[in-house]
Amino acid sequence: MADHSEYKEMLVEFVYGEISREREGELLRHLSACSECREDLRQLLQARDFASALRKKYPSPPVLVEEKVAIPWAALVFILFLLLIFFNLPRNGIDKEKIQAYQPGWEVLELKSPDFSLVLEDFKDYFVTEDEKNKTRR
Amino acid sequence: MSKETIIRARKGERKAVETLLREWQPRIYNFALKHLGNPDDASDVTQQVLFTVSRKISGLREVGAFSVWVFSIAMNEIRKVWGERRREVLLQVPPSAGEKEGLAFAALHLLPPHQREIILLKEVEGFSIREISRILSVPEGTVKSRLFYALKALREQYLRLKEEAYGRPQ
Repeated sequence: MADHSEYKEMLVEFVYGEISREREGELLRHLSACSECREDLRQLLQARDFASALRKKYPSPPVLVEEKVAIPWAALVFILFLLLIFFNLPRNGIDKEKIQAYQPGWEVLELKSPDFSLVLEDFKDYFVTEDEKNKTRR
Repeated sequence: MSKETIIRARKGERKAVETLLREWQPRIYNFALKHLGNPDDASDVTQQVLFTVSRKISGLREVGAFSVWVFSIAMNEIRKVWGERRREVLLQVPPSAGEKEGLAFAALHLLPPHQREIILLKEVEGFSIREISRILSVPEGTVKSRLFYALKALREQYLRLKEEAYGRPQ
């Protein structure tokens, strides 16, 4: 025969329909003789009725899960974008070799803030030939 | 929610992961809201749980235990909030709450967290005693004992609040 703490556990199994047939038979026999456990059963069933009011569902606000999940992708795209810009720079910006091949004898001056959208011809004013440099020195 | 979606998500299929997160978001939010009683905390917990699920689903062993696994994560996150918050609780009863709902919500929040969580896992989420023992990592006997005392405490608080609000029934 089980003790009272065991019957309390059985009552919980019983009110949730998770009790085995064997234990149920034992509990019902006990309940017929124990008013304290019958009162416990009544209170558990009443509590379950009150608790049923907690089942209402509330609308959930949009959670930014997709953004969080997308962070690695966003970072990857950003890095690819930077790499693309980096490898494209010589084509749109200052390419010493290209300039020297285009105008041998010309020297590239240091530019403080080159505009990468400019094409090569737009940089002509920034270059001076060796002759012009020598003239300036004189 | 199909097992197939979980299996595909576990393999790393992005679409399947997104489907799972969308399906689970309302359930986790509601659980966190009812447990913490505060929509801001509930949103934070939901976001963190879903993020963890999306990152760790590839390591999920039992597909059938997906919900138990998700709620174990949720419990961890909720306990973190409890740890930070200590005893300062700002309870927000849903504005549309009816009498019974409002009383039950308030009564639930007068219980200690270990009683509150077991009532929510059983009464609202419908987990079996065995599943709850896995979620909370406690023996089944402990789950039953906690449920017994939690239900009795909820009933007591509910009736006390009702009496305070409406007076003793004649």
